[in-house]
Amino acid sequence: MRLVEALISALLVAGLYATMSYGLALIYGVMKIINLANAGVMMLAAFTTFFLWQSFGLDPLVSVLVVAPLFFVVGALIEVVFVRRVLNEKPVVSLLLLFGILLVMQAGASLFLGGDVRSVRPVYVQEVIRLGDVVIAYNRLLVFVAGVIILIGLELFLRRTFLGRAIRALAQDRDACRLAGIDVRRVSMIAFGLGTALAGAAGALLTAVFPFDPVTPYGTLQLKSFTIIVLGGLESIPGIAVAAFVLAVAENLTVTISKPQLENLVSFVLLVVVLVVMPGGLAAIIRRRRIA
Amino acid sequence: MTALLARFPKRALLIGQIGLVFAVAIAIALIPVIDERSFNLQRITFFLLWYAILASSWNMIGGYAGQISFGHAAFLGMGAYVTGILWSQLKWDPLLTLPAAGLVAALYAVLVGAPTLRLRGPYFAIATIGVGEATRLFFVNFDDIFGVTLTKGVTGISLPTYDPVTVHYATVVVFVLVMLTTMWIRAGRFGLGLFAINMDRDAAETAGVPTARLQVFALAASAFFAATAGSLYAARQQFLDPASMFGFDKSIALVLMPVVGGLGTVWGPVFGAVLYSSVQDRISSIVNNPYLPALIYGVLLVVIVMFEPLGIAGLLGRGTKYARALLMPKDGDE
Amino acid sequence: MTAGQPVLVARAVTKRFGGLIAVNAVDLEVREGEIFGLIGPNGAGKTTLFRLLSGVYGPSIGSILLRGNEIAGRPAHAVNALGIATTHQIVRPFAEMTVEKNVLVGVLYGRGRLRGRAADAEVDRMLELTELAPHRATLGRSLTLARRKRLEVARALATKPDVLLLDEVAAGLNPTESARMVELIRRIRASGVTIVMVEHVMKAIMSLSDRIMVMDLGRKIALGTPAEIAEDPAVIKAYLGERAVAS
Repeated sequence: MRLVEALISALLVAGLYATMSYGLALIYGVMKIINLANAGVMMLAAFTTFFLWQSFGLDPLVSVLVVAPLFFVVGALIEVVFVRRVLNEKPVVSLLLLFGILLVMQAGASLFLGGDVRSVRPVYVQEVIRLGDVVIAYNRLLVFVAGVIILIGLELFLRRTFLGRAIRALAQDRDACRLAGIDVRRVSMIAFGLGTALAGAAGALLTAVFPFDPVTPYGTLQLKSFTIIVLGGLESIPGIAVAAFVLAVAENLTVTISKPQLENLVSFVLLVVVLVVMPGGLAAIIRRRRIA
Repeated sequence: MTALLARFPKRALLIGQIGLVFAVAIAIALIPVIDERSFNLQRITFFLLWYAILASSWNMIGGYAGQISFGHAAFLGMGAYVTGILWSQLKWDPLLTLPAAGLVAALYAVLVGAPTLRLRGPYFAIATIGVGEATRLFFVNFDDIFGVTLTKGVTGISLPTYDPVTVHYATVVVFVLVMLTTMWIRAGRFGLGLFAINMDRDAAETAGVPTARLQVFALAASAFFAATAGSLYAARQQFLDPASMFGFDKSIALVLMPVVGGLGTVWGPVFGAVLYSSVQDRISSIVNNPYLPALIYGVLLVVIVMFEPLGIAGLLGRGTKYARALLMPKDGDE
Repeated sequence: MTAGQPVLVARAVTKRFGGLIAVNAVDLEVREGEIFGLIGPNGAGKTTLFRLLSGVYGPSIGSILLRGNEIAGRPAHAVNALGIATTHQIVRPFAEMTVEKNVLVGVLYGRGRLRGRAADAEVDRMLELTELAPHRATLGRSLTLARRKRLEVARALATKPDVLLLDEVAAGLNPTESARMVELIRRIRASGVTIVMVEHVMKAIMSLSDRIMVMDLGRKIALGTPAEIAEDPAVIKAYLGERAVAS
């Protein structure tokens, strides 16, 4: 039963991990840049959620509805003011730019908000659900459900709406999109905003499960998102969901079998293994299977 | 004299720069000789040279090879720990451990670089974030994992005392070595290949350049020197712990200095080092918050990237043709 | 190797990209010292085949032998070290380097193992051969198209290949420049290099090639002398709609 519990726990955490990573994948798919500021956005969103909870008693899951649109705007602004200028340069340039923005976010938050660890304690933080012998934390379950809703919403948006399909088209062939009359600049801005909004949502959800501060966890969470998108195949949303689950399971197993400190090393090892063995990630393997 | 300069401009510039390196080195080396009690000046010049060594070493992979490494502190820390362990456990003279530290780091670099540098896209940069974090975790948990008392985890290793003047001289020597290596790379076949890869990797491949191998080599060289800097730090500070050696602030500094100073140039990293060490000094005397400098650096980075990608070197180089040549801008054109 | 012997042989070479088969079971045999032409309508797979021969792509199936050595699957720089150099359909000079430095890359990293003064002399030789000497200090990005094309050739040649792959080197050139390129190609062949060329400019390829292979939709559909394939009904059919006629 401990195994089942471990698997379920992994599944629940995977929901959060996946939500963290969609934004990264979306932005990379459309603009071919790695948004290093992703973790910074999550952190700022977490703080925003915290203040909303502290001042208005707003439940973090409900905050998502406020935080996500807010950070959509933030992301769009960042795209227009900063990212757009460096889109045509070598990838080095955008990496450095977003790294600088990340620094500003983290340092700014530490300076103006203080480096203390904050924690959101919604009403149900201690409640659990029991299914037979298995104990599930209620907050984790809610976060997972939220994550699933976001996944479904995202997929529906990308497949059913014109804008969503424009975004997917842009990810495949920018020039063809121009020829087809798609306003590439506007769609790019929206895609970046959407990616940031997803990170914001992840940040809000994060607060319901973990405590946070301006700096420390984001190194490791950032690394996990990278591992997930590499494993899931940089541009495939469902692939990411699966990859998130794989990572969560691997972590859980490692922690259960050996030492808890090794949890974060797992993502790194997985990252290197994936890069060496299958650079295209899971998505590439699935693609290859389909042809053969 | 000017006629001679006109006839052999490239050679003259090269010799001039080598001369400058030696002049600076000798001047700094003489400080403890001239005034035995100039501890503050010695400290300032040590860190100045130290930052210059780090920045130049990062530049080898980030500037010349064009591959951003966000976790470079891993090599720095690795060098420091190799020295620390060989010194405290095996009683080696710390300065003799420098080559060993460098080699270990270089091997580590090859291990990390071989799978990641041959891939296109941002995979290397992503991997380096992981490398930085993972190496830190590895050293923090080393004792737990292997059941020994070697790295002493978070508490760190205390090292025996050592004459700081000797470290001072050693630092000067390493500085000269790094600068000469940088110039040699920049002026020679290796650098030409790296620039070609930077401009167009596929075209370079078909022109016979073994792109993956050259990039791994650049990473190994970069790691080697970063590690020696770590060893020097250990020898001088006589204390090591993961927070200071693998701290994110070190990784930031390593990226920042060469980028702000001038990515891919010979003297850019030095400018960046000068800037960084002066900012560190000024700010820490006014405000005791480590995040204020980080904020400034973040803003600087954004500004530089958007407006003057060649950093300080680029700003200076907007002058005469010779000034530009002196700064050896990234374009491979001397 | 005596003239006329096969130097580059491809057997049943196939390349798939996902569901698309770009090159389909192509056999190829290039003889030493010849100029071997490769033509076909757009999308026939010519450039893909070139990329397979130069090592940029590895074949999905099949083998490629250079003087008996298997080169399929080897990285491009290794293939170059074994003796094949290529130009690119869309020219790719090193933009921020001078013409001299561009060629120097080929000299230093090619098969010649030249260094120092000997390398500089070789660069001079290449620049003379391709008539680029007056522009040696010009940056790659400042060159006109014709000069960029000659630079591509110079850089590829600087690696001292046995086989030179020319991908549409005459495309986009006016008749004068085109004629100059043809002369350059003749000079190169005279120096002992085997040439395989893809071309749409019919005048050039028909007059230069000893033999021509025609591709369509990834397959080889004809092989022969220029005169033979000009009359080949399969070739005419593939080009139906095009008014490209051998002069």
